Amino acid sequence: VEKAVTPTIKPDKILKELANLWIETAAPSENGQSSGVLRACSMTMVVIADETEDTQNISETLAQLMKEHPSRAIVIRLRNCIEPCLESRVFAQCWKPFGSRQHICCEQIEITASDSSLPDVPAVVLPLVVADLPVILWCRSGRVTELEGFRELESLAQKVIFDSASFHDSEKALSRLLTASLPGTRVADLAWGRLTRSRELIAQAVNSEDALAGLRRVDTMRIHARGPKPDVPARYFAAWLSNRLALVGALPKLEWDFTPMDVPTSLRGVALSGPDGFTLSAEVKQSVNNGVAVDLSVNGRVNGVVLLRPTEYELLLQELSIPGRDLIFEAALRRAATV
Amino acid sequence: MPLDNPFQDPLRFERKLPECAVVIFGANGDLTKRKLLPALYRLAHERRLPPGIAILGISRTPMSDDQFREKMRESVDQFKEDGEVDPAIWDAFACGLFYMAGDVGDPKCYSDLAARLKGIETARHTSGNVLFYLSTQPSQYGPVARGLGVAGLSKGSGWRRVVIEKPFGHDLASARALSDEVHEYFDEHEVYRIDHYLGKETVQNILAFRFGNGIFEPLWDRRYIDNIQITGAESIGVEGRGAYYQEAGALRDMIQNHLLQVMATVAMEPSSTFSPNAVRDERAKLLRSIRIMKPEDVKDNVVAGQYGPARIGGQELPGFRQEKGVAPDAQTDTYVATTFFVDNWRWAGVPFYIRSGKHMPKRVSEIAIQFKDAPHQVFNGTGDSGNGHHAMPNLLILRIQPEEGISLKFVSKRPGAGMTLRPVSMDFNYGSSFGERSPSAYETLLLDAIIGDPTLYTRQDMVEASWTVVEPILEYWATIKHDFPNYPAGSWGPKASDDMLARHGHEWRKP
Repeated sequence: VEKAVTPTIKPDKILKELANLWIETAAPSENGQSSGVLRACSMTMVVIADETEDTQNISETLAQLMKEHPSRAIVIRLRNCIEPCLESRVFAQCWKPFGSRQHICCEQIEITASDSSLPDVPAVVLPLVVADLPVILWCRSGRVTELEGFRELESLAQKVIFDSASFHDSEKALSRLLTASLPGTRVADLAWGRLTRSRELIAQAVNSEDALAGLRRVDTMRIHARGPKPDVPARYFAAWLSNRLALVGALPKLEWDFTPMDVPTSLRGVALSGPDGFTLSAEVKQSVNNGVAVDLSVNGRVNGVVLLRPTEYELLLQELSIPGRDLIFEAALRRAATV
Repeated sequence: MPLDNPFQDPLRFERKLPECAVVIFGANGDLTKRKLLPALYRLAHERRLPPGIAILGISRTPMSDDQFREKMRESVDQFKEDGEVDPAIWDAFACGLFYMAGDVGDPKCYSDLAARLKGIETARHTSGNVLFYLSTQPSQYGPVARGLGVAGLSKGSGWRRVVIEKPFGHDLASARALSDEVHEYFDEHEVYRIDHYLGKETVQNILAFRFGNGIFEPLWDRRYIDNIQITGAESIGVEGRGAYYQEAGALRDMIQNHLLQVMATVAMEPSSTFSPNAVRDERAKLLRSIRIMKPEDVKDNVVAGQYGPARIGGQELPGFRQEKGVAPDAQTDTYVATTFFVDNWRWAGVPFYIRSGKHMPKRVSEIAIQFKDAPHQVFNGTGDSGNGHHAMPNLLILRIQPEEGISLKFVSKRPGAGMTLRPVSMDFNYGSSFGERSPSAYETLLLDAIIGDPTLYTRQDMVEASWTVVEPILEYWATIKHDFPNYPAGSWGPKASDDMLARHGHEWRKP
């Protein structure tokens, strides 16, 4: 339901447009029947992305998320140009749950700004956030984190979701994530979420008394990654394994095994071994539709599994389902920066 | 001591269900068709079941696996709560559906079952894990448990659990006898007594509401709460179950299990953790604190009712005694209202009114918590009713069904000149606030049983405590003859029920 296009950005005007939007959306139809609209909101979701990114994709992901995490979405699209520009529009995303008479609607505000106008945006966003509800900032571009005005935007949020894959340099990405982890702000990285299924596979592989006992004596950890040097996912994985093995008293030596850069997946495999013959390995064999085929081996017993690549929606759902701190990720992030 | 897996990440990893076989006794019955299979299909649809799960139905009717699958498909089509059945998901799900005909009173049934389970374990890799679901006549619970035990099926290479539907006995002695029979072959931690009310999202939400927020618990006691009303009303009659219901009645069918469990959830002390036994310990403690009535208390604090014929919306409705299978002089309570008191520091003197009935004006389950009036009436005489805002006490309504949610009623100044007060309602609606669908109670409970989480299941000490509460009522009723019918179908119950509250200066809320 699209309402209007405003030539300039005035938060009061946007709020008024939003109020009108709800009145219009809920107005009775011609036959006098009320359309029965319920307004749902559990947070403010601020999305910042380059204008060149596929807007359709962002909208679809937000629409999917609305069902589990209804929000006021504020999408900031950054135009990489010198001329200042700032414009906005408001609209509502509605759906009708099966069997319900009422539509459930969430509001969306889209702000288009040039890079040079970004410093003006936080002051616009501040009055638009829904009172008393969490503010989540989803930053889709590594580039924008270096722009003036981004820090102010970041400070409005309780949780900032980055994607380190959108940074050109892994050192820079990790250092940016670490500096964003200020007191009161939680940081998340979609690249960490992409590793969840691989981590789960390793956890399931050692779900027996024998394997758990073997873990205590692991003395070598070999990570097979795309390189000349490890990227963020490989560092996360190494850091996570080291942290978790330390919990059972194992302090293995870390060895890297690099593969040329032309392979599609950055983390190619992992192998843990101990002096008493315990071995656990997971190795990517080939790419398959929407994922990779992996050979998982525990003490020589091999199983083939397929790990599907999660969609952006699934990754965000994972992050939004964690309202508090994620201590396992935070520890992995700190350690990854030193790997 | 088992080692903890250091790689686990409960925040992010999905709760993995173990591969297992679910054996449903009474697979041709109503519960299987209306609730169990639709819930299992829904879980499969949401990819929450392990891929190798096997569901083996048992009943007397001869049927092939394929005929059973076809029959279950029809049931799922008919009783699934939302959306269409996805043919691809159904096909994968149906591969795990099996059936065997058997008489649960015949030992051969169990040797056949053992052989069938062995085959299923090989084909579906269920690791010897079996969940036995007793969806049979209650009189068969004991014999089935014994049959399983004698055939060696209560123990195996994997875990074994048995789910029992209510009623757990028809009085305290029979509940204990049933428990003894089942415990002969299954340990208490393997027995899952299902009370589907506890699986409802809103009932679970009572705990979140009370113990996840800081503002309500300080008001949650005798100093601020005047009375609590718990209603479980059904708009339908016995719907062909007259013969069964005649033996049960509302007190046994609803109060002894569902509504006393709800009361325990509303009134229990906070548990130190959310572990299954910590929560159940507190519920059990509350049930044991309910004052046991003497015969003279029953007269004043319990009202039995039975619906008579009525005409609603042009349709003639039969009275209970005119229902099929019901004796013309049946003394069955189709309605019951009770006043319970909890003898502990928190609730001393606060009446808990609980009512349940068939053929009420609407289907509604809710808890209404009525707060005490403000100590001084500044606005006396300025309410809408013209006699002060006493007409509208502060009420907190926890709605269990049909519209799950929470409402807070308070008075507000009416816009305009003067200080006229009007009751208003602040509503939280579960569906619209989250948008996503709430799982049905059976989905939640089946999943919990498979994963081995008994938090929402009733423990034997809780069953015994609630029978101890209702048994004096049953004993007193056995000595008198009720003057039934005493309320017309489609009404809110007998007048005596209103009188019971009036004696305490209260009145029933009309939901």
